[in-house]
Amino acid sequence: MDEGFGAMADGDGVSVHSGFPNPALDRRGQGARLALDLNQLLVKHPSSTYLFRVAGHHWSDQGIYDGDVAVIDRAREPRMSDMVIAWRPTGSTLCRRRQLTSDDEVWGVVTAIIHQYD
Amino acid sequence: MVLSSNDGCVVSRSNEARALGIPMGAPVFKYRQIFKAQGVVQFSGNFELYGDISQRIIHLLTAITPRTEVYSVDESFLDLSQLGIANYQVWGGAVRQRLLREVGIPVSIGIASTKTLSKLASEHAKRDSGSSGVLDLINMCPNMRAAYLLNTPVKDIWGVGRRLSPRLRAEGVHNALDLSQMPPRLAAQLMGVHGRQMVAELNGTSCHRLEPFGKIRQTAMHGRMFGEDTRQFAVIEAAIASLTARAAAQLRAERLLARGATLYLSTNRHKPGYRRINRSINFTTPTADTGLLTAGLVEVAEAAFNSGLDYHRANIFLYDLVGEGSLQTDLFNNLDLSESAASQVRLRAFDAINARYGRRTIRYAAEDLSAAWQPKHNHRSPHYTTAWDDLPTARIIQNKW
Repeated sequence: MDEGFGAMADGDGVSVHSGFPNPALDRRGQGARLALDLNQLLVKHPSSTYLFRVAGHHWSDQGIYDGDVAVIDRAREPRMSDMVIAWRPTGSTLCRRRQLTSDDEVWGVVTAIIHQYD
Repeated sequence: MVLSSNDGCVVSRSNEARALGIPMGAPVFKYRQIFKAQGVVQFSGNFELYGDISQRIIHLLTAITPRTEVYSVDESFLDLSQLGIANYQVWGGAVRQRLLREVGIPVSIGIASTKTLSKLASEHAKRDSGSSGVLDLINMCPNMRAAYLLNTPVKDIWGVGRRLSPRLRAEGVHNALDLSQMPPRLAAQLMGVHGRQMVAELNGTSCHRLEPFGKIRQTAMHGRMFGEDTRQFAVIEAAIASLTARAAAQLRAERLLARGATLYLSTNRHKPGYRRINRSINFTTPTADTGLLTAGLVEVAEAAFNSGLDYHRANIFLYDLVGEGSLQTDLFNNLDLSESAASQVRLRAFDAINARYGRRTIRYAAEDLSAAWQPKHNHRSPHYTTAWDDLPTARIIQNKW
Protein backbone atom coordinates (compact mmCIF):
# COMPACT_ATOMS: atom_id res chain seq x y z
CA MET A 1 0.00 0.00 0.00
CA ASP A 2 1.38 3.39 -0.93
CA GLU A 3 0.73 5.79 1.88
CA GLY A 4 2.88 8.65 0.64
CA PHE A 5 4.48 11.20 2.90
CA GLY A 6 1.23 12.59 4.24
CA ALA A 7 0.51 9.51 6.28
CA MET A 8 3.83 9.82 8.11
CA ALA A 9 2.78 13.03 9.76
CA ASP A 10 -0.81 12.36 10.67
CA GLY A 11 -0.22 9.79 13.40
CA ASP A 12 -2.37 10.47 16.44
CA GLY A 13 -0.11 12.58 18.59
CA VAL A 14 2.99 10.60 17.61
CA SER A 15 5.87 12.66 16.30
CA VAL A 16 7.85 10.98 13.54
CA HIS A 17 10.83 13.27 14.09
CA SER A 18 11.78 12.38 17.63
CA GLY A 19 13.59 9.20 18.41
CA PHE A 20 12.55 5.59 18.24
CA PRO A 21 8.88 5.03 17.31
CA ASN A 22 6.57 3.34 19.79
CA PRO A 23 6.40 -0.29 18.60
CA ALA A 24 2.92 -0.69 20.14
CA LEU A 25 1.48 1.58 17.47
CA ASP A 26 1.14 0.41 13.90
CA ARG A 27 2.59 2.29 10.96
CA ARG A 28 -0.26 4.77 10.84
CA GLY A 29 0.16 5.43 14.54
CA GLN A 30 -3.24 3.98 15.39
CA GLY A 31 -4.11 1.46 18.05
CA ALA A 32 -2.14 -1.29 19.68
CA ARG A 33 -1.33 -4.20 17.44
CA LEU A 34 0.73 -6.28 19.85
CA ALA A 35 -1.85 -7.85 22.16
CA LEU A 36 -2.89 -11.39 21.31
CA ASP A 37 -6.49 -11.77 20.28
CA LEU A 38 -8.15 -15.07 21.18
CA ASN A 39 -10.46 -14.71 18.18
CA GLN A 40 -7.41 -15.10 16.00
CA LEU A 41 -6.72 -18.49 17.57
CA LEU A 42 -10.28 -19.79 17.80
CA VAL A 43 -12.19 -18.24 14.91
CA LYS A 44 -11.02 -18.88 11.38
CA HIS A 45 -14.22 -17.81 9.63
CA PRO A 46 -16.02 -15.09 11.64
CA SER A 47 -19.12 -15.11 9.40
CA SER A 48 -19.80 -18.81 9.83
CA THR A 49 -18.69 -19.26 13.46
CA TYR A 50 -21.28 -19.71 16.20
CA LEU A 51 -20.98 -20.56 19.90
CA PHE A 52 -23.05 -23.12 21.83
CA ARG A 53 -23.17 -23.90 25.54
CA VAL A 54 -22.57 -27.61 26.18
CA ALA A 55 -24.90 -29.46 28.58
CA GLY A 56 -24.41 -32.91 30.09
CA HIS A 57 -21.76 -34.99 31.86
CA HIS A 58 -21.42 -38.00 29.56
CA TRP A 59 -18.11 -36.95 28.07
CA SER A 60 -16.38 -35.69 31.22
CA ASP A 61 -13.82 -38.48 30.92
CA GLN A 62 -12.99 -37.11 27.46
CA GLY A 63 -12.37 -33.64 28.87
CA ILE A 64 -15.68 -32.07 27.80
CA TYR A 65 -17.72 -30.75 30.69
CA ASP A 66 -21.17 -29.37 31.40
CA GLY A 67 -21.14 -25.61 30.78
CA ASP A 68 -18.22 -25.58 28.34
CA VAL A 69 -18.47 -23.37 25.25
CA ALA A 70 -18.28 -25.09 21.87
CA VAL A 71 -16.98 -23.15 18.86
CA ILE A 72 -18.77 -24.20 15.67
CA ASP A 73 -17.68 -23.42 12.13
CA ARG A 74 -20.41 -24.01 9.58
CA ALA A 75 -18.00 -23.47 6.70
CA ARG A 76 -16.17 -26.71 7.55
CA GLU A 77 -17.22 -29.81 5.63
CA PRO A 78 -17.94 -32.46 8.31
CA ARG A 79 -15.84 -35.65 8.22
CA MET A 80 -16.96 -38.89 9.87
CA SER A 81 -14.59 -38.46 12.83
CA ASP A 82 -15.50 -34.79 13.45
CA MET A 83 -17.33 -33.63 16.52
CA VAL A 84 -20.50 -31.82 15.39
CA ILE A 85 -23.60 -30.06 16.61
CA ALA A 86 -26.62 -31.80 15.08
CA TRP A 87 -30.35 -31.14 15.02
CA ARG A 88 -32.07 -34.27 16.22
CA PRO A 89 -35.76 -34.72 16.96
CA THR A 90 -34.85 -34.33 20.65
CA GLY A 91 -33.06 -30.99 20.17
CA SER A 92 -29.53 -29.89 19.35
CA THR A 93 -26.89 -32.42 20.30
CA LEU A 94 -23.12 -32.58 20.57
CA CYS A 95 -21.87 -35.84 19.06
CA ARG A 96 -19.57 -37.43 16.51
CA ARG A 97 -20.58 -37.18 12.88
CA ARG A 98 -20.61 -40.98 12.54
CA GLN A 99 -23.08 -41.32 15.42
CA LEU A 100 -25.82 -39.60 13.41
CA THR A 101 -28.79 -41.32 11.83
CA SER A 102 -30.66 -40.28 8.70
CA ASP A 103 -33.15 -38.24 10.81
CA ASP A 104 -30.38 -36.01 12.08
CA GLU A 105 -28.95 -33.00 10.36
CA VAL A 106 -25.46 -31.62 10.91
CA TRP A 107 -25.66 -27.99 12.00
CA GLY A 108 -21.94 -27.33 12.13
CA VAL A 109 -18.50 -28.75 12.92
CA VAL A 110 -17.07 -28.19 16.41
CA THR A 111 -13.58 -26.69 16.03
CA ALA A 112 -12.84 -25.97 19.71
CA ILE A 113 -14.19 -26.51 23.22
CA ILE A 114 -13.51 -23.77 25.76
CA HIS A 115 -13.38 -24.85 29.39
CA GLN A 116 -12.99 -22.33 32.21
CA TYR A 117 -11.81 -23.26 35.71
CA ASP A 118 -13.44 -20.68 37.94
CA MET B 1 -43.87 -13.01 12.51
CA VAL B 2 -41.84 -10.25 14.10
CA LEU B 3 -43.37 -7.39 16.09
CA SER B 4 -42.19 -3.79 16.39
CA SER B 5 -40.67 -2.55 19.61
CA ASN B 6 -43.22 -2.68 22.40
CA ASP B 7 -44.96 -5.51 20.53
CA GLY B 8 -47.27 -2.97 18.87
CA CYS B 9 -47.56 -4.04 15.27
CA VAL B 10 -46.34 -6.55 12.73
CA VAL B 11 -43.07 -5.52 11.05
CA SER B 12 -42.07 -8.75 9.34
CA ARG B 13 -44.05 -11.74 8.11
CA SER B 14 -43.14 -15.18 6.87
CA ASN B 15 -44.75 -16.31 3.60
CA GLU B 16 -47.16 -18.40 5.70
CA ALA B 17 -48.26 -15.40 7.78
CA ARG B 18 -48.63 -13.39 4.58
CA ALA B 19 -50.88 -16.11 3.13
CA LEU B 20 -53.20 -15.71 6.13
CA GLY B 21 -53.82 -12.13 5.03
CA ILE B 22 -52.00 -10.45 7.91
CA PRO B 23 -50.95 -7.07 6.48
CA MET B 24 -47.62 -5.37 7.10
CA GLY B 25 -47.95 -2.95 10.02
CA ALA B 26 -51.07 -4.70 11.35
CA PRO B 27 -51.76 -3.66 14.95
CA VAL B 28 -51.38 -6.79 17.08
CA PHE B 29 -54.50 -6.24 19.18
CA LYS B 30 -56.73 -6.37 16.09
CA TYR B 31 -55.42 -9.73 14.93
CA ARG B 32 -54.99 -11.54 18.24
CA GLN B 33 -57.87 -13.95 17.43
CA ILE B 34 -56.38 -14.98 14.08
CA PHE B 35 -52.92 -15.44 15.64
CA LYS B 36 -54.39 -17.76 18.23
CA ALA B 37 -56.65 -19.72 15.90
CA GLN B 38 -53.95 -20.24 13.28
CA GLY B 39 -51.05 -20.87 15.63
CA VAL B 40 -49.06 -17.89 14.40
CA VAL B 41 -45.73 -17.65 16.25
CA GLN B 42 -44.89 -14.11 17.39
CA PHE B 43 -41.48 -12.72 18.18
CA SER B 44 -40.58 -9.34 19.60
CA GLY B 45 -37.94 -7.59 17.52
CA ASN B 46 -34.46 -8.86 18.42
CA PHE B 47 -32.36 -6.26 16.66
CA GLU B 48 -29.07 -7.37 18.21
CA LEU B 49 -29.52 -10.81 16.66
CA TYR B 50 -30.60 -9.44 13.26
CA GLY B 51 -27.68 -6.99 13.27
CA ASP B 52 -25.19 -9.77 13.97
CA ILE B 53 -26.57 -12.04 11.23
CA SER B 54 -26.61 -9.07 8.85
CA GLN B 55 -22.92 -8.37 9.59
CA ARG B 56 -22.04 -11.99 8.79
CA ILE B 57 -23.80 -11.85 5.43
CA ILE B 58 -22.31 -8.46 4.53
CA HIS B 59 -18.86 -9.83 5.39
CA LEU B 60 -19.30 -12.71 2.95
CA LEU B 61 -20.80 -10.51 0.22
CA THR B 62 -17.98 -7.99 0.49
CA ALA B 63 -15.52 -10.85 0.06
CA ILE B 64 -17.26 -11.72 -3.23
CA THR B 65 -16.96 -8.12 -4.42
CA PRO B 66 -16.05 -4.90 -2.63
CA ARG B 67 -18.55 -3.26 -4.96
CA THR B 68 -21.30 -4.00 -2.45
CA GLU B 69 -23.80 -1.43 -1.23
CA VAL B 70 -25.43 -2.27 2.09
CA TYR B 71 -28.90 -0.87 1.49
CA SER B 72 -30.51 -1.91 4.76
CA VAL B 73 -30.16 -4.52 7.50
CA ASP B 74 -31.49 -7.19 5.14
CA GLU B 75 -30.75 -5.91 1.63
CA SER B 76 -27.57 -5.29 -0.33
CA PHE B 77 -26.79 -4.41 -3.94
CA LEU B 78 -23.77 -6.02 -5.62
CA ASP B 79 -22.22 -4.82 -8.86
CA LEU B 80 -21.58 -8.01 -10.84
CA SER B 81 -20.34 -6.34 -14.02
CA GLN B 82 -16.64 -6.79 -13.23
CA LEU B 83 -16.86 -10.38 -12.06
CA GLY B 84 -16.92 -12.14 -15.45
CA ILE B 85 -19.85 -14.36 -14.52
CA ALA B 86 -20.84 -16.75 -17.34
CA ASN B 87 -24.22 -17.81 -15.97
CA TYR B 88 -25.94 -15.52 -13.48
CA GLN B 89 -28.55 -18.08 -12.49
CA VAL B 90 -25.90 -20.66 -11.59
CA TRP B 91 -23.74 -18.05 -9.85
CA GLY B 92 -26.73 -16.81 -7.82
CA GLY B 93 -27.57 -20.37 -6.82
CA ALA B 94 -24.03 -20.95 -5.57
CA VAL B 95 -24.02 -17.72 -3.53
CA ARG B 96 -27.40 -18.55 -2.05
CA GLN B 97 -26.20 -22.06 -1.17
CA ARG B 98 -23.05 -20.71 0.45
CA LEU B 99 -24.93 -18.23 2.66
CA LEU B 100 -27.40 -20.94 3.63
CA ARG B 101 -24.63 -23.33 4.61
CA GLU B 102 -22.19 -20.95 6.28
CA VAL B 103 -24.45 -18.42 7.97
CA GLY B 104 -27.56 -20.60 8.05
CA ILE B 105 -29.87 -18.00 6.49
CA PRO B 106 -31.93 -18.42 3.30
CA VAL B 107 -31.75 -15.35 1.06
CA SER B 108 -33.35 -14.40 -2.23
CA ILE B 109 -31.33 -12.98 -5.09
CA GLY B 110 -32.60 -10.88 -7.99
CA ILE B 111 -30.25 -10.19 -10.90
CA ALA B 112 -30.95 -7.41 -13.38
CA SER B 113 -29.45 -4.42 -15.16
CA THR B 114 -30.81 -1.76 -12.76
CA LYS B 115 -31.45 -1.46 -9.03
CA THR B 116 -35.20 -1.12 -9.53
CA LEU B 117 -35.35 -4.32 -11.61
CA SER B 118 -33.08 -6.17 -9.16
CA LYS B 119 -35.41 -5.32 -6.29
CA LEU B 120 -38.37 -6.47 -8.33
CA ALA B 121 -36.59 -9.72 -9.27
CA SER B 122 -35.57 -10.48 -5.69
CA GLU B 123 -39.17 -9.99 -4.51
CA HIS B 124 -40.31 -12.58 -7.04
CA ALA B 125 -37.43 -14.85 -6.11
CA LYS B 126 -38.61 -14.63 -2.50
CA ARG B 127 -42.30 -15.27 -3.17
CA ASP B 128 -42.41 -17.75 -6.06
CA SER B 129 -41.91 -21.18 -4.60
CA GLY B 130 -40.62 -22.50 -7.95
CA SER B 131 -37.87 -19.93 -8.39
CA SER B 132 -35.28 -21.58 -6.09
CA GLY B 133 -34.60 -18.21 -4.51
CA VAL B 134 -32.72 -16.78 -7.49
CA LEU B 135 -34.20 -14.88 -10.42
CA ASP B 136 -32.10 -13.60 -13.32
CA LEU B 137 -33.93 -11.08 -15.50
CA ILE B 138 -30.89 -10.48 -17.72
CA ASN B 139 -30.73 -13.78 -19.58
CA MET B 140 -34.44 -14.08 -20.06
CA CYS B 141 -36.60 -13.77 -23.15
CA PRO B 142 -38.38 -10.39 -23.31
CA ASN B 143 -41.84 -11.97 -23.10
CA MET B 144 -41.05 -13.68 -19.85
CA ARG B 145 -39.50 -10.56 -18.39
CA ALA B 146 -42.65 -8.65 -19.35
CA ALA B 147 -44.71 -11.30 -17.54
CA TYR B 148 -42.76 -10.66 -14.32
CA LEU B 149 -43.36 -6.92 -14.69
CA LEU B 150 -47.04 -7.59 -15.33
CA ASN B 151 -47.24 -9.58 -12.10
CA THR B 152 -45.75 -6.78 -10.00
CA PRO B 153 -48.43 -4.41 -8.62
CA VAL B 154 -47.41 -0.73 -8.69
CA LYS B 155 -47.32 -0.52 -4.90
CA ASP B 156 -44.50 -3.09 -4.85
CA ILE B 157 -42.20 -1.14 -7.19
CA TRP B 158 -39.12 0.36 -5.54
CA GLY B 159 -39.76 4.09 -5.20
CA VAL B 160 -43.56 3.92 -5.39
CA GLY B 161 -44.79 4.71 -1.92
CA ARG B 162 -48.18 4.82 -0.32
CA ARG B 163 -48.72 8.29 -1.81
CA LEU B 164 -47.78 7.56 -5.41
CA SER B 165 -49.58 4.27 -5.93
CA PRO B 166 -53.17 5.62 -5.84
CA ARG B 167 -52.12 8.41 -8.21
CA LEU B 168 -50.65 5.89 -10.63
CA ARG B 169 -53.69 3.63 -10.43
CA ALA B 170 -55.85 6.65 -11.24
CA GLU B 171 -53.80 7.00 -14.43
CA GLY B 172 -54.56 3.38 -15.31
CA VAL B 173 -51.10 2.19 -14.24
CA HIS B 174 -51.65 -0.99 -12.25
CA ASN B 175 -48.39 -2.89 -12.54
CA ALA B 176 -44.72 -2.51 -13.38
CA LEU B 177 -45.31 -3.31 -17.06
CA ASP B 178 -47.82 -0.44 -17.33
CA LEU B 179 -45.34 1.90 -15.66
CA SER B 180 -42.48 0.80 -17.92
CA GLN B 181 -44.62 1.73 -20.93
CA MET B 182 -45.52 5.19 -19.63
CA PRO B 183 -44.07 7.93 -21.86
CA PRO B 184 -41.13 9.51 -19.99
CA ARG B 185 -42.63 12.98 -20.43
CA LEU B 186 -45.85 11.95 -18.75
CA ALA B 187 -43.90 10.25 -15.93
CA ALA B 188 -41.91 13.46 -15.40
CA GLN B 189 -45.10 15.48 -15.40
CA LEU B 190 -46.75 13.25 -12.81
CA MET B 191 -43.82 12.47 -10.56
CA GLY B 192 -40.91 14.69 -11.53
CA VAL B 193 -37.38 13.44 -12.14
CA HIS B 194 -38.03 10.58 -9.77
CA GLY B 195 -40.81 9.25 -12.01
CA ARG B 196 -38.81 9.52 -15.20
CA GLN B 197 -35.97 7.62 -13.52
CA MET B 198 -38.31 4.85 -12.38
CA VAL B 199 -39.59 4.36 -15.93
CA ALA B 200 -36.02 4.33 -17.30
CA GLU B 201 -34.88 1.85 -14.66
CA LEU B 202 -37.79 -0.48 -15.42
CA ASN B 203 -36.65 -0.41 -19.05
CA GLY B 204 -33.09 -1.38 -18.13
CA THR B 205 -31.41 2.03 -18.14
CA SER B 206 -29.61 2.50 -14.86
CA CYS B 207 -30.22 5.83 -13.08
CA HIS B 208 -29.23 4.90 -9.54
CA ARG B 209 -25.55 4.18 -9.14
CA LEU B 210 -24.14 1.72 -6.67
CA GLU B 211 -23.09 3.54 -3.50
CA PRO B 212 -20.49 1.32 -1.83
CA PHE B 213 -20.10 3.64 1.14
CA GLY B 214 -23.81 4.15 1.59
CA LYS B 215 -25.59 7.46 1.42
CA ILE B 216 -24.61 10.10 3.93
CA ARG B 217 -27.29 10.17 6.58
CA GLN B 218 -29.68 13.10 6.20
CA THR B 219 -31.80 12.57 9.30
CA ALA B 220 -31.99 10.52 12.49
CA MET B 221 -35.37 9.36 13.73
CA HIS B 222 -36.12 7.53 16.95
CA GLY B 223 -39.53 6.70 18.33
CA ARG B 224 -41.21 4.52 20.88
CA MET B 225 -44.62 3.70 22.19
CA PHE B 226 -45.02 4.05 25.95
CA GLY B 227 -45.46 0.78 27.84
CA GLU B 228 -48.96 2.04 28.55
CA ASP B 229 -50.68 5.31 27.65
CA THR B 230 -49.76 8.12 30.00
CA ARG B 231 -50.93 11.53 31.24
CA GLN B 232 -47.79 12.12 33.29
CA PHE B 233 -45.30 14.61 31.99
CA ALA B 234 -42.49 12.88 33.88
CA VAL B 235 -42.92 9.78 31.73
CA ILE B 236 -42.87 11.81 28.52
CA GLU B 237 -39.79 13.67 29.70
CA ALA B 238 -38.00 10.37 30.40
CA ALA B 239 -38.95 9.10 26.96
CA ILE B 240 -37.65 12.23 25.26
CA ALA B 241 -34.38 12.01 27.18
CA SER B 242 -33.89 8.37 26.31
CA LEU B 243 -34.77 8.76 22.61
CA THR B 244 -32.59 11.84 22.30
CA ALA B 245 -29.67 10.05 23.96
CA ARG B 246 -29.86 7.31 21.33
CA ALA B 247 -30.27 9.63 18.36
CA ALA B 248 -27.47 11.93 19.52
CA ALA B 249 -25.12 8.98 20.13
CA GLN B 250 -25.88 7.77 16.60
CA LEU B 251 -24.98 11.18 15.16
CA ARG B 252 -21.75 11.30 17.17
CA ALA B 253 -20.80 7.81 16.02
CA GLU B 254 -21.12 9.09 12.45
CA ARG B 255 -19.43 12.39 13.30
CA LEU B 256 -22.49 14.45 12.45
CA LEU B 257 -24.19 17.43 14.07
CA ALA B 258 -27.83 18.55 13.79
CA ARG B 259 -29.15 22.03 13.15
CA GLY B 260 -32.75 21.09 13.86
CA ALA B 261 -34.78 18.77 16.04
CA THR B 262 -38.48 17.95 16.03
CA LEU B 263 -40.58 16.28 18.68
CA TYR B 264 -43.76 14.39 17.81
CA LEU B 265 -46.21 13.35 20.51
CA SER B 266 -49.38 11.45 19.78
CA THR B 267 -52.26 9.56 21.30
CA ASN B 268 -53.20 6.08 20.07
CA ARG B 269 -53.99 6.21 16.35
CA HIS B 270 -56.39 3.28 16.66
CA LYS B 271 -58.50 4.90 19.38
CA PRO B 272 -61.04 7.73 18.98
CA GLY B 273 -59.93 11.33 19.43
CA TYR B 274 -56.51 10.75 17.87
CA ARG B 275 -54.28 13.79 18.39
CA ARG B 276 -50.78 14.43 17.19
CA ILE B 277 -48.55 17.45 17.69
CA ASN B 278 -45.10 18.39 16.52
CA ARG B 279 -42.71 21.08 17.73
CA SER B 280 -39.37 22.00 16.22
CA ILE B 281 -36.31 23.74 17.54
CA ASN B 282 -33.32 25.11 15.67
CA PHE B 283 -29.74 25.49 16.80
CA THR B 284 -27.52 28.30 15.57
CA THR B 285 -24.53 26.12 16.44
CA PRO B 286 -25.17 22.61 15.12
CA THR B 287 -24.93 20.08 17.91
CA ALA B 288 -24.95 16.41 18.84
CA ASP B 289 -24.90 17.18 22.54
CA THR B 290 -27.46 15.00 24.34
CA GLY B 291 -27.88 17.54 27.12
CA LEU B 292 -28.58 20.50 24.83
CA LEU B 293 -30.93 18.55 22.57
CA THR B 294 -32.85 17.04 25.48
CA ALA B 295 -33.23 20.36 27.27
CA GLY B 296 -34.57 22.00 24.10
CA LEU B 297 -37.03 19.23 23.30
CA VAL B 298 -38.29 18.88 26.88
CA GLU B 299 -38.93 22.64 26.95
CA VAL B 300 -41.11 22.57 23.83
CA ALA B 301 -42.84 19.41 25.08
CA GLU B 302 -43.73 21.11 28.34
CA ALA B 303 -45.25 24.06 26.50
CA ALA B 304 -47.33 21.76 24.29
CA PHE B 305 -48.29 19.24 26.99
CA ASN B 306 -52.03 18.75 27.59
CA SER B 307 -52.78 16.88 30.81
CA GLY B 308 -56.14 15.74 29.43
CA LEU B 309 -54.66 13.50 26.74
CA ASP B 310 -53.51 9.89 26.98
CA TYR B 311 -50.14 10.00 25.27
CA HIS B 312 -49.20 6.83 23.43
CA ARG B 313 -46.09 7.54 21.48
CA ALA B 314 -43.11 9.90 21.21
CA ASN B 315 -40.82 10.38 18.23
CA ILE B 316 -37.82 12.60 17.92
CA PHE B 317 -36.34 13.58 14.64
CA LEU B 318 -32.92 15.23 14.12
CA TYR B 319 -32.34 16.86 10.75
CA ASP B 320 -30.32 19.37 8.76
CA LEU B 321 -27.19 17.38 9.54
CA VAL B 322 -23.65 18.56 8.91
CA GLY B 323 -20.30 16.85 9.40
CA GLU B 324 -18.36 17.69 12.56
CA GLY B 325 -15.51 18.89 10.37
CA SER B 326 -17.56 21.51 8.54
CA LEU B 327 -17.98 23.42 11.79
CA GLN B 328 -14.30 24.28 12.10
CA THR B 329 -13.95 25.53 8.55
CA ASP B 330 -16.95 27.85 8.65
CA LEU B 331 -14.93 31.05 9.00
CA PHE B 332 -17.73 33.53 8.67
CA ASN B 333 -19.79 32.10 11.45
CA ASN B 334 -19.98 33.65 14.88
CA LEU B 335 -20.20 30.26 16.47
CA ASP B 336 -18.95 29.78 19.95
CA LEU B 337 -16.50 27.11 18.95
CA SER B 338 -14.69 26.82 22.25
CA GLU B 339 -17.86 25.75 24.00
CA SER B 340 -18.86 23.32 21.29
CA ALA B 341 -15.33 21.89 21.23
CA ALA B 342 -15.50 21.33 24.98
CA SER B 343 -18.87 19.62 24.58
CA GLN B 344 -17.41 17.36 21.88
CA VAL B 345 -14.54 16.29 24.14
CA ARG B 346 -16.92 15.57 27.00
CA LEU B 347 -19.26 13.55 24.81
CA ARG B 348 -16.42 11.59 23.25
CA ALA B 349 -15.39 10.46 26.74
CA PHE B 350 -19.03 9.64 27.46
CA ASP B 351 -19.31 7.50 24.31
CA ALA B 352 -15.97 5.80 24.95
CA ILE B 353 -17.10 4.68 28.41
CA ASN B 354 -20.34 3.28 27.01
CA ALA B 355 -18.54 1.57 24.15
CA ARG B 356 -16.23 -0.15 26.60
CA TYR B 357 -18.56 -1.05 29.45
CA GLY B 358 -21.86 -1.43 27.59
CA ARG B 359 -24.60 0.83 26.32
CA ARG B 360 -26.17 3.08 28.98
CA THR B 361 -23.40 2.43 31.54
CA ILE B 362 -23.39 6.15 32.06
CA ARG B 363 -26.42 8.16 31.01
CA TYR B 364 -28.33 11.32 31.72
CA ALA B 365 -30.41 11.21 34.91
CA ALA B 366 -33.49 12.25 32.94
CA GLU B 367 -33.49 8.89 31.15
CA ASP B 368 -35.70 7.32 33.72
CA LEU B 369 -35.93 3.54 33.81
CA SER B 370 -39.47 3.37 35.14
CA ALA B 371 -41.69 0.58 33.85
CA ALA B 372 -44.13 3.10 32.43
CA TRP B 373 -41.68 4.07 29.75
CA GLN B 374 -39.74 0.87 29.17
CA PRO B 375 -41.14 -1.02 26.20
CA LYS B 376 -42.65 -4.44 26.49
CA HIS B 377 -40.91 -7.39 24.86
CA ASN B 378 -43.11 -10.29 25.80
CA HIS B 379 -42.10 -12.53 22.91
CA ARG B 380 -38.38 -11.90 22.75
CA SER B 381 -36.17 -14.56 21.23
CA PRO B 382 -32.78 -15.10 22.92
CA HIS B 383 -29.76 -13.02 21.88
CA TYR B 384 -28.15 -16.23 20.65
CA THR B 385 -25.12 -14.64 19.06
CA THR B 386 -24.64 -11.45 21.06
CA ALA B 387 -25.05 -12.35 24.76
CA TRP B 388 -23.07 -14.97 26.70
CA ASP B 389 -26.08 -15.83 28.84
CA ASP B 390 -28.21 -16.51 25.76
CA LEU B 391 -26.01 -19.02 23.90
CA PRO B 392 -27.99 -21.93 22.47
CA THR B 393 -27.51 -25.22 24.32
CA ALA B 394 -26.34 -28.50 22.86
CA ARG B 395 -26.85 -31.67 24.92
CA ILE B 396 -24.00 -34.15 24.89
CA ILE B 397 -25.02 -37.47 23.36
CA GLN B 398 -25.21 -40.35 25.87
CA ASN B 399 -23.25 -43.01 24.04
CA LYS B 400 -19.48 -42.83 23.88
CA TRP B 401 -17.76 -42.13 20.63
